[in-house]
Amino acid sequence: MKNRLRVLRAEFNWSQMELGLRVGVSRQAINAIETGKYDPSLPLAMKLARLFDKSVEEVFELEETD
Amino acid sequence: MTEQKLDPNIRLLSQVAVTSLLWAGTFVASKSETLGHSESLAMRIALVVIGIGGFLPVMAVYAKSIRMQDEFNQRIHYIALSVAFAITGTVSYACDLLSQAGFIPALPSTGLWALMVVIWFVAMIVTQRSYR
Repeated sequence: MKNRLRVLRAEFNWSQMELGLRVGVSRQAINAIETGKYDPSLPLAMKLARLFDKSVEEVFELEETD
Repeated sequence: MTEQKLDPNIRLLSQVAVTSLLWAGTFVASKSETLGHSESLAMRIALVVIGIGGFLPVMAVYAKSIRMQDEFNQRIHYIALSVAFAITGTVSYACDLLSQAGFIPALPSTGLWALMVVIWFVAMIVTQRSYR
């Protein structure tokens, strides 16, 4: 699954740690999501999208291989 | 008067320390000559109860520590536990067969448990690195 988390985070000028604190996960979790190595649960994806005032589809996108 | 809440991580660390000390104490007690070689039924029951009674709180605290973590770290634990389970299962099965065939002495079950803990720890480090 692709995502725009890194771009959105940069727009808000937040560190991975800061974003993690805002949604209640570790910096490592944010890093793994940004690098596409870990797909978040639906509640976490919704929390992230809501934080950036976007829909889940605007932040996360399914790839052909998913 | 406002009650100040202790940081959850500090509270957890204290619980780990206290339960580990309790376990160490009960482990030593359960291995004592008096209990281990007693012919009294009450003493032998005490040996088992003390040993398990000291061990369960440690397991409860570890389970709590995993529950407190976020979904990503919980996933790392699950993967590491699965790896530890699979390797320990294979090793115990192989050791059992080797022991039956007379190649090696019987392996104590506590040793297998310790092996599982070590593999769990190593698998956690490897899994964490794979997500970097």
